[in-house]
Amino acid sequence: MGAQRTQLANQRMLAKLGVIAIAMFGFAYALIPLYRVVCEVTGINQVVKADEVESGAGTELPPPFAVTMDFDASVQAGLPWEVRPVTRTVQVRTGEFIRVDYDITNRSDREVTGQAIPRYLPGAAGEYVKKLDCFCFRQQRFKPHETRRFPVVFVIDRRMPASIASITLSYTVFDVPAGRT
Amino acid sequence: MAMTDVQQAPAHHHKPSGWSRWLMATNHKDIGSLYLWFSFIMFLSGGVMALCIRAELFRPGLQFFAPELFNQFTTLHGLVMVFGAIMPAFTGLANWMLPLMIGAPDMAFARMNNWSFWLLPPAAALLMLSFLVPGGAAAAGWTLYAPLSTQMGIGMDMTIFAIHIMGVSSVMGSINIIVTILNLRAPGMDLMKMPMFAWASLITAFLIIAVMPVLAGVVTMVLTDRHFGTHFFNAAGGGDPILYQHIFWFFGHPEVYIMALPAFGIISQVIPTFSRKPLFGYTSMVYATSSIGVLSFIVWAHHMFVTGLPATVQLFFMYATMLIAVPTGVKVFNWIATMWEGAMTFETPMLFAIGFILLFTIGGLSGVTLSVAALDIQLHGTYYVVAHFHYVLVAGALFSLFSAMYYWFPKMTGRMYNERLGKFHFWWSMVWFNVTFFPMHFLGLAGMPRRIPDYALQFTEFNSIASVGAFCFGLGQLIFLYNILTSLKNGKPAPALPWEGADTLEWKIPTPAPYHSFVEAPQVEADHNGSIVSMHGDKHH
Amino acid sequence: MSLALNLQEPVTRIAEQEFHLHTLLLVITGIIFLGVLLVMLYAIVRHRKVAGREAKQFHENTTVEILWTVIPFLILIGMALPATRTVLAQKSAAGADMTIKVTGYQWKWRYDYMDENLGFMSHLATPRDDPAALARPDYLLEVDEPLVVPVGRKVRLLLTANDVIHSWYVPALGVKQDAIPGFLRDTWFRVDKPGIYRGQCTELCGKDHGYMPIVVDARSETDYRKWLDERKKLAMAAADDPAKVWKLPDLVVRGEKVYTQNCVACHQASGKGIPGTFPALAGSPIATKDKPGHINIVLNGSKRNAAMQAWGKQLSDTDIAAVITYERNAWGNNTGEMVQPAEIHKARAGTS
Repeated sequence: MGAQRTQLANQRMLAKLGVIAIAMFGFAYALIPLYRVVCEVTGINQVVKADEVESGAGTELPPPFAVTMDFDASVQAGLPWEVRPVTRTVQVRTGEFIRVDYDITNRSDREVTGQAIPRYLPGAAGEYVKKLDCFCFRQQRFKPHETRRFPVVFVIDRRMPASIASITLSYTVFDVPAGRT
Repeated sequence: MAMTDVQQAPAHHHKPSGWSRWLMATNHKDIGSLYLWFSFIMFLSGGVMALCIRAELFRPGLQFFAPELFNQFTTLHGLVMVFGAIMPAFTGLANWMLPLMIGAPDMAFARMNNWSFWLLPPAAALLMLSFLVPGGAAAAGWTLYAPLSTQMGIGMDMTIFAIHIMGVSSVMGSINIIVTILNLRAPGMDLMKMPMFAWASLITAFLIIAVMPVLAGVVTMVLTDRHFGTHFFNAAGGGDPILYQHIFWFFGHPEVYIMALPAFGIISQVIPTFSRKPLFGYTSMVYATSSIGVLSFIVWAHHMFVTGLPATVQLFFMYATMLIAVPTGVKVFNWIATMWEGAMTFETPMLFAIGFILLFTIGGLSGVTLSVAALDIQLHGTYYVVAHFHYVLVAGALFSLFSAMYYWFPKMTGRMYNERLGKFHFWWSMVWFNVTFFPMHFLGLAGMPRRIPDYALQFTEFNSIASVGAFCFGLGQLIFLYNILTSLKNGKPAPALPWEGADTLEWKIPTPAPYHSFVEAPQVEADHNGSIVSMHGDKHH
Repeated sequence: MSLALNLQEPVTRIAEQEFHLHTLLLVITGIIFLGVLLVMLYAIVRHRKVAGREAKQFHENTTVEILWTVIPFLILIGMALPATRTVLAQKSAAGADMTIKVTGYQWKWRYDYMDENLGFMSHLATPRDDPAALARPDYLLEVDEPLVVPVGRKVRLLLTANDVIHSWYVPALGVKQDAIPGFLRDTWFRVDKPGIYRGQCTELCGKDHGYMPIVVDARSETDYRKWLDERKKLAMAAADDPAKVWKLPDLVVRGEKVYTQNCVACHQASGKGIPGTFPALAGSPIATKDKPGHINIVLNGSKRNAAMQAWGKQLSDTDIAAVITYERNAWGNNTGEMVQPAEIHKARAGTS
């Protein structure tokens, strides 16, 4: 009679709810790409690759304006490097190509590989700083006590909102353990 | 009828005895009792850890514990209370009472029910044993923030596995609750008529199914970060520690309501009974509970105001969080309107319910204060937050559980508890709870960080007061244990209707509740909040 | 006896706004709570069951329900408006006069004056394991090197961390910001009043989370300049010649300082460690016999116990030589042996 029908209905609902639970477990993982997308849109996180610089032909661009740029670097635990911007501050105008230099020294007696990741403040500035050359595009391998100077070439997109009057670009440099290169 | 029943459910006809009654339990009342005893033991264990914390903080300087052990206590105190005490207690209560309140013969899946419970003791054992392994228990706070949680020893792995197991248990328990409520209600017990406790349990169960797997997911990521070379939360590998917090609090904020909504449900049964008046605004209560459930998914980042979110994100989460105050306020106003012009008596369940409303309101209002992002900059990570969530979880969840236990004790056991001891338990708890936790607001305002084993001298007085309060509060809970144990044996036999104003379905059947109740579904005529106008055709044995 | 009941006295504009915001919220929520309490008390007193009293059976009133939904909503808007203004002010770090980079370490802070080429570590200065320390007025809130800033200038902080998440909190400045490893955050303050302002790390960061205070020393512009010049000279003088050959007593004195700043948390002042968790150095074979092993574990850390970091990445050759020498000559480890900076330099070369 009714009991069997109820049991069937119960089992159907059990299956559905079980699927929801498993899907929610997957959802936790789905939050990762979702978060990346949100970060890219809002400029919280930056992708480490050369940016495309559009010619801007055919589109009306706002007039260029002056921006103060500060440069900095942090070396994370485990990497015996010294990373220093040669210039700490420059005045730039949007739309202009700029080159600054970073000095990196390996302070240890062994070969060390590191990877730099750029971080911007304010985060929203990230998407407008178009880098054409940067040591952060690839892992850098250093011989013992080697010092090298790296150029960073970039242009600030003229579409950047004028409310951003100053930008800090700071590289965080990580140790890349041998075997993970 | 006997023949068909025997074929369908042979186990239902005799009451098993000895250990197998409990180990093989499929009866919702037995499983409910197991849950309740388990959660009380966990409550005492978590309480002992809390007292260790308060002993260390009684005065400045390190007296009893090294800092790393202190951190293990704060971490395990949180985990044990949340996952071991409060959540299983509500599941146990739902197991015991829901079938009786909606006219179901048992929970929908009796064997799964057995599993849901018996997963818990091994999980609890994992947590407790982790104190003994090298490096000790997890010490990253109950939130297990990465990358700190990737630094810990094997105790962290045990904690992660314990969370997995408890997560599976609570998801299975919730599926049982949902299916029971949606499919097994007695004819006439409409959704918009059923008791608020059933509504609260239903919404809570959906929240659990939605977020416990997310927690399981995020701690699995920590596990793979720890041992299998993934980089979910490690910036060096392209991960992001803040991502952990986003996922954790996507679980964590609904979790707060998982621990609060069933309490709302209980209070919505107790207040009308002792006011001898129907619940005011039943329909708006259902909507308020549902909207709290929905809103709880879009406020998580208010736990992250100092992580450096962009201003627009902060503002969104601030507004959304403030919005939750509206349905929560509606609930408080409805309870008071229920009391208004009633004919109230103040037995122990009612005392705890009134204590709940009063103290939960304080916790709610300090919550509004914390929701203001600009001010949270001062209060985040201080004792103000500790004060706030203990007003919500101790005076909220725990007081409601005491209220429920005293309220339904006669129905469960057929005996009355000792009313004088019960009232003493209430007043003792009420006083010492406030002595313990109210001064923490001042400590937080003055800038004392949480989770520190030793503190600067200006924090001494309030910490000493809080520690004295905590020990008295803790001792007071033994009154409850004593009352339950002695009343189980020697309590006065309970009348079928011990509370004059009680009108829901569980009070229409014999006392104590028969081992197999509603073996045939009754035909009921119900009004709002599960109030029964008439019932016939019920069978029990 | 100090029973502070409120937020600390604000010394920045932002902290002042936060203070007033709290007062406003306290008044509003206080009134709401009193209202709830009074109505409930009235009902409890007047609507209790007495002989002949019947409960009224009403259970709905749409007007009332709408009112107590709409009114709280309006009150919340009233709270949100000033709060929004303060949030926006807190977030506008642009236009700063100077920038200081703050790096959180387990368990100390590092301050780098970005425009001045000056940087230093700031450690807890209260002695651990000394009961007499409880007599110090600033117990657990004192550091060896405070963050010195000029008053009246907008100071921007760039925050990051080296290992786990820390949080930089100074109540009187109204500033709290997480420092996140591998990421960069900023916040700002402008102190109006010279003085010393104390705070603590507010994000659980491991064992010694309670022992990494923050001290901000706000001075007048001229005093700040004076301090800056002296501090820079000091920094130059302190730069060690790695080839220098040290004498044993000097190395031990230097080593004890390094030990107190870096090692004492785990290995304890007694050198006895914490049984089962942190090994003893007093009498241990590695600190009395196996010298190369000793150098190796301090330089490169322990493979078995993650708590033993690779100090080679944080400390200079001289500091490492000094601390090893100290450990080999303290607590009855009277080896009389010395380790010179040059040996550490050589040991680093062998490391890979």
